[in-house]
Amino acid sequence: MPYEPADVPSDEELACRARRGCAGSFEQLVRRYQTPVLHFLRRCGGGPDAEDLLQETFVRAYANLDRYREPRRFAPWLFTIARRIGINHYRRTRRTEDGESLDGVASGMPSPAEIVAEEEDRQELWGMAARILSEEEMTAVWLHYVEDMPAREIAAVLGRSWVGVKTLLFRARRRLLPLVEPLRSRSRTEDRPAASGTNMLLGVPDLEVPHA
Amino acid sequence: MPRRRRSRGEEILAARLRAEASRSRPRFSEGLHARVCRAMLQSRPREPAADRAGVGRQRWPRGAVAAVAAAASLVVAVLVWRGDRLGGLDSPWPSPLPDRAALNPGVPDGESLLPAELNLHSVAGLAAAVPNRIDALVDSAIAAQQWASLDDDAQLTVRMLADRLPFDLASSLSMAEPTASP
Repeated sequence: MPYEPADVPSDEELACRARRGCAGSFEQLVRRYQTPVLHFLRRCGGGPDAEDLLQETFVRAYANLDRYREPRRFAPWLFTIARRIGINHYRRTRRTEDGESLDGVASGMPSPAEIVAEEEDRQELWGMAARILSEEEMTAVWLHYVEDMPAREIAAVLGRSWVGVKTLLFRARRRLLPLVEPLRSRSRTEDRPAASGTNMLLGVPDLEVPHA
Repeated sequence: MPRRRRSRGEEILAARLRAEASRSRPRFSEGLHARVCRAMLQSRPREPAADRAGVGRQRWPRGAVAAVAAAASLVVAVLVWRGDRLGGLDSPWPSPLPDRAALNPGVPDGESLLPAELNLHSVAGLAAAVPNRIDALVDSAIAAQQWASLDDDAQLTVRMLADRLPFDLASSLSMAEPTASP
C-alpha cells in the first residue's frame, strides 16, 4: 500500500466531498487520475480519441457521483466508467469503419506515419496483446500489471467474480507467454557469462520489478 | 492457501509488460486538465446531494404531526373537563371523581362552583384523570395501524376526533360560563 501522509485526503474522501458539492475536490481527483485513465483508454479501445474519451469519463463520473458509494474504492469505479466509454466508442467507430471501408479502398494506401505506428505497435508486447486477447482479458491484464489493481477490484470493473478474474488472467498469461519465449531462450544463453540481471535482457536496465 | 510460485517466463512477461507501459505512459498535461475541468463544470453545476433531495417536496415531519394531534386532543379534553365540572352537564365518559354533592354537601345541586371553592382533593383527582381520559379517547378513536401511518392519515385522525368529541357541548358551556360565575 502506498504511503500517504495524514493530511492528504484519500480518493474516497475527495469523492465524498465532491458529492457534497465541492468541485475543487473533484478537480484533485482529475489531477490524480488523468494520466492513468488516459493511458488505459489509449491502450484499451480509445486509440487516438483517448483524450475525448477521458473528458467524457470524468464528466460522466462527476454527473453520477451520487451513485458512488463508500466503502467502495474510487479507482475501480472510475475505471468501470472509462471501460464502458471505451467499449461504446470502439463499437461506434467499428460500425463507421465498416460503412466506410469501400471509401478507404478507393482513397488508396495508409499514410507513412500510420504504417510506422502500426509497425511499432506490432513489435510491442502490448500491441501484440491487444490483437490476441479479448477486451476483458486485455483490461484485466492492464489493470493487474500496470495499475497494480488487486483481483477483487478488477472483478468490480469487469462485473465478474474474483475467481473469474483469476481465470481470465491465467488464460491471458498462457496466450502471452509464447510471445516472450524468444527472450527466455536468449536469457538462458546470455545469462551464463555475466549475470547482469533480467532487466538487461528486457532492454530496460533501470526497471524495478515490483512484486505482485 | 499457498501462493503459486511464478515461473521465470511469467516474471519476464510481467516485467516486459510493465516496462513497455511505463515507456508509453503519457505525461501530465495542464492543458488537458483544464479542458476536462471546464467540460466537467459546464456539464452540470453540482448542488449538494442533501439540497437536491429536499427540492420540490415539503413534508411535515412525522413528529410535528403527532404533536399537533396530541395538542388538539389535550385542548379538547380540557374543554370537556370544564364543561363537565363547571357546567354540571352529563359527561359522555364516566367520571373518576367522587360525586360533587358528596364533596360539597352545603352547595345546592345545579349551582356552579367557583375555582376557589374546589377542594384540593377534587383538583388532584381531576389532574390524575386527564391523561387516562386522553389515552382512552385515543385508543377508542384511533386504531394501532392508523397510528403507524399517522403522517398520511393525520387529517382523517383529526376528523375522527372531532366527530367523537362533544365540541358542541364544550362551546355551549363556554357560552354559559359568564352567567354561571359572578
